[in-house]
Amino acid sequence: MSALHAGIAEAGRMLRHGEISVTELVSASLARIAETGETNAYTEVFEERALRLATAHQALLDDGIDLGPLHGIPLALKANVDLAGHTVDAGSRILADRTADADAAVTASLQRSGSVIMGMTNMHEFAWGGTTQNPHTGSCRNPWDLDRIPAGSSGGSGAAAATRSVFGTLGTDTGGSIRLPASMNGITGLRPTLGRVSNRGVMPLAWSMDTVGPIAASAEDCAIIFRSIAGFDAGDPTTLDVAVTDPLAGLDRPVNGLRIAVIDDYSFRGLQPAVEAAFRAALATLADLGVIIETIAVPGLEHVVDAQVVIDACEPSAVHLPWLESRPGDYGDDVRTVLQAGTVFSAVDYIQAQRYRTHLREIVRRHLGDVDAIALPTIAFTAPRVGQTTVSIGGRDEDALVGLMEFTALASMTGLPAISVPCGFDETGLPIGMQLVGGAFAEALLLRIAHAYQAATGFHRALPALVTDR
Amino acid sequence: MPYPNQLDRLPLTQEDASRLTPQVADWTARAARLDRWVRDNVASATPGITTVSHIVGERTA
Repeated sequence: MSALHAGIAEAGRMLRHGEISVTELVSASLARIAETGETNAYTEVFEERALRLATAHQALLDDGIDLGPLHGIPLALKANVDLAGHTVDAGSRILADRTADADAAVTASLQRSGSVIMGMTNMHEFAWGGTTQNPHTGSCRNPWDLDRIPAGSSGGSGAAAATRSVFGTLGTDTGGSIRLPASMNGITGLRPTLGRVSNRGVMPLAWSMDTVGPIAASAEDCAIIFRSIAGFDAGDPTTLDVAVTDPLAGLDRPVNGLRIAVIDDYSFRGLQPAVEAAFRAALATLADLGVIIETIAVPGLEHVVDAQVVIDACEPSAVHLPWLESRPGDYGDDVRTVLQAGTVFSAVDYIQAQRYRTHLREIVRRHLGDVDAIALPTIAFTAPRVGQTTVSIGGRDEDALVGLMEFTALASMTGLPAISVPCGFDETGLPIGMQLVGGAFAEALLLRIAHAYQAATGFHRALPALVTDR
Repeated sequence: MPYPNQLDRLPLTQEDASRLTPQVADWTARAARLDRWVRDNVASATPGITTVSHIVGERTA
């Protein structure tokens, strides 16, 4: 088995026991990136830099200097996360000439942990979209079926993790951009609590929803990456000074007796039959593990996407107004349209959406006093074809962008953490994801539940046929 | 009479206008639907505060 499939903890053990060197691991990563290039998951690969760092990190390990579980582990960054001295363009033409003058806080954390940044991953332009079909960097393809989208906006991060070209990636999630590619690529993605991870050095999309988080094969790998990047940053006014619970400390604890809720008239709404079957089977697996499954009601949840559309439209348009005025032709058509459309809302529209958000948060917070997590499908459907603009949800045709938000909006609107784990495949072999939403700063609990689920199932270990070296 | 908004001040091509028509129609309908629900169901004292600590409900000292 390729060491790339081992998971971070096992790869680290192999490195420390001399079964593989950092240079060999990085070389394997580079080879996998090349072999799976049809996905167009990367916009830039740092071959020379990565090999140079590999030599340096191997020397540290040889000298007995161990920087922790990420030491020598190949990772990748979404192209909106700053890496000092490199072009970080957020998948845009507008920022094509921009060189980051400093590392993002999360980049600095990963590098202090000894990881080797292999490259920047493809993304939807400025993260404003869910398909990663980018006119400037080229279409990113789903490794499970190259005719289909990898979702987005962190689609390259999803495809890169799914092919195991790296052990994990960073994504950014505003309306679902970590969880959506995790679901459609058959891997795991954690959206942390708003304010848990620094956004310093990350190109904003919508300030009141933007989060940075890990995308990797397993919950354990996500936990290792999350532990490296989580915590207060005095340089980012949106982070909160709240202690981080070590997600690895209790990862193996049993989950029997925990309570997980499904939302009456919502958790099962409009699902493709294969998605509903996989989600129900996942709930049954959790019940077999001793989790108590309950049903709760959240009145008004049918408007969560409406509220998300308003906020997710207004805030990016405020960011982009100067460029919309001076360089409109430098945006792709789809992103220019949503940015222009975001300017039509009134201040009252925006505030009403924020008031809805306050109301929803209070209801969900009350429920999360009684249950440990809320379970939802991550997406109602499996990966659409490239170019498909509408999806069928519950028998009605819905705009694909809005359709993608259907189940991810709850965590985005409430600021709560959520994790997407693979829970099956449809009849054509496309991955399906289940989402767990937890209370504020409950990432460790979500990772623990996801880890227990993954110990009982094997969906997160499945590899797309594109990966031939098994 | 329609009132001017930010969109009126942006340079738009004919193609932009064609793409915007259905997008704006859908989104403004959503905003109107949401507004009606908020008026009917959300207490008037409920604020639309957007600081992170309020969003996640965390009270920092």
